[in-house]
Amino acid sequence: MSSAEPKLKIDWVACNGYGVCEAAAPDLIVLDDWGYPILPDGVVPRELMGQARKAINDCPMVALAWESKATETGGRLGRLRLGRRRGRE
Amino acid sequence: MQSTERLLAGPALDGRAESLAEHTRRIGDLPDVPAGQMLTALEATGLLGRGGAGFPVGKKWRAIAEQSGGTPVVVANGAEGEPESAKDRVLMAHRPHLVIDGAILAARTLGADRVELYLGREHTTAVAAMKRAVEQRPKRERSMLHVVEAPIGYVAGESTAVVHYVNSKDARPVTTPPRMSERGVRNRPTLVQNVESLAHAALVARFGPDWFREAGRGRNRGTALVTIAGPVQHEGVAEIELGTTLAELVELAGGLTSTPQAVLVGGYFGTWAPVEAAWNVPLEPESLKAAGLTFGCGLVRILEARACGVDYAARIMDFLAAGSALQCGPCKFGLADLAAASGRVAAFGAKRDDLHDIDRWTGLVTGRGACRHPDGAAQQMSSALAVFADDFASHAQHRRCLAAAVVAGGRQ
Repeated sequence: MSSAEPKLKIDWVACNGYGVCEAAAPDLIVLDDWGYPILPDGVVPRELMGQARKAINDCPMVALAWESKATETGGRLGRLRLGRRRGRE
Repeated sequence: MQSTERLLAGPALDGRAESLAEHTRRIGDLPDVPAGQMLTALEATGLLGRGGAGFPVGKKWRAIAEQSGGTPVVVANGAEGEPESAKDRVLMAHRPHLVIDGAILAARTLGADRVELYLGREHTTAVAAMKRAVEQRPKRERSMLHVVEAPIGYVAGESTAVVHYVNSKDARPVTTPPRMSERGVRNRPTLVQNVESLAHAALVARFGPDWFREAGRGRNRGTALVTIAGPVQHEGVAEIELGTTLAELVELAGGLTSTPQAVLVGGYFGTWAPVEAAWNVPLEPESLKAAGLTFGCGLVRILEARACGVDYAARIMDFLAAGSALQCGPCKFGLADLAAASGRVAAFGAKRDDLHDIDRWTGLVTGRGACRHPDGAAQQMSSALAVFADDFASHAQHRRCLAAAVVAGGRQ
C-alpha cells in the first residue's frame, strides 16, 4: 500500500454480502438493509487502518481492496487464492 | 417550427432503408480524412455521445487512437434497450449506410480492422436493414463488418455488457477496470459508440465541424434524434436542433391532444419534471443539467394530467428491477424492494414505512454496482417522488389517486 490517501473499494460483482467486513471493521463499515457493506466516503483514518486491513484479508470473496492503483496487483493475487478456496469446497 | 434534418434528410421515413447507391448519390462517398485531422474535427464539434451517458466523442476516439495495446476494435452500439426510445432503430432502419459509414470512419481513424454491429435482436426491421446494407458495401469493407444480434434486455446495451457479450455471449456488465479503451473485445482496445453518434461522425467527415456547429443554439451544438411519446398528435422520432424547447418539440409533433402534467426526459434513467417547469427549457445537455434534467437517450415522455405518475414511476421501477443483471447485491435486492414498495403505493396498499423506505433506498443503491443501472433507476424514482409528491402521499395515506380525481372532476 503505497498511496498516501488510502480508500477502500468494493467489487460489487464479487461481493456476496457475507458481512465479514463489518465484523472485522465495525468502526469503518456498516451493512445496508440487504447485508451489503456501506464503505466510508473518504480516506480511512490512520487509527482504523488495522481494521481496514483485517476486513480486506477476511473477505471470503476477495471483494474488498484498496482503491489505489499500486495495490491492484494484490487484488489479482487474491483472486488466485480464492480459486484454491473454492477447490476445497 | 421546422425540424432540422441531417441524419434523417433524404427519402421519406416510410420503413424502407436507403440503398448504398441512393446514399452515395445524395451525400457522396465517405471521404478519406487523415486520422489526426478527423480527431481534431470531432473534438471541435463538441459532439457528446448519444447512447445516454453523453461522453465527448472526440475525446473517446483520441484515447483509443493514442494507446498502444494492439489493433483496436470498433463496436457500433445499436442495442437500444430503452422501451420508449425508438431513435436508434428508426435511424438504422432508414439510414443504415450513414451508421456503417460512421463505423468504417471510426475504424479507419483508430486503425481498427474489425467492426462489430451490435443490434437489438427485437428490432427486426433495423436488423434486416443493417444486414442488407452490409451486403451492399464493397468487399474490402464487408470483410471487416460483423453483425452481432444482441439479446433483449435493458442492461445488454451497457457498454461493458456489450463487450462481454461480443467476447463470451454473456450480456451482463463487468466490473471495470480494465478499461475498454485498453482491453475490450478480444482483449484489444475497443470503441463502443452509439449508432447515432457514429452517423453524426460520418457527416462531420464530409462537411466539417463548422458545418456541424451551424445547427444548435446552446453551448452543445448540432442536431439530435429524440423520441417524443405521450399526448401529442404524432408520437415518434424527430431530429431537432439542440436547444429546441419542449414547447417547440410538442408543436413539431402536431401539438397536445390532452392536458399534460409532467415530463420524463432522458429515458428510464432520466428525470421527471412538472410540465410547466420543463416547457421552455432548451433540449440541450447543459441547459437541461442546469434545470436538474439529463439529455440521456433523447426520450421525451409526456404524462397526461389524467394519468397516474405514481403508477407510471412504479412500472418503470418494476421494469428496471426485472432488467437488473442480478450480479450486485444493492441492485439485485434494492431495485426489487423499490419496485415492490412503489408498486404497493401505486395500488393503494402501502405499508407504513414504504414512502420513507423508497426515499432512503434510492440513495442507498446509488453508486453501488458494477454499472450505473441502479443509479439510473434511483434517479427516475427519486425525481418521481419529488414531482408526484402529493400523489404519492395521497396514494399512501388516503388510498386515493389525484390523477383519477382529475378525470372525475372533468378537468382534463
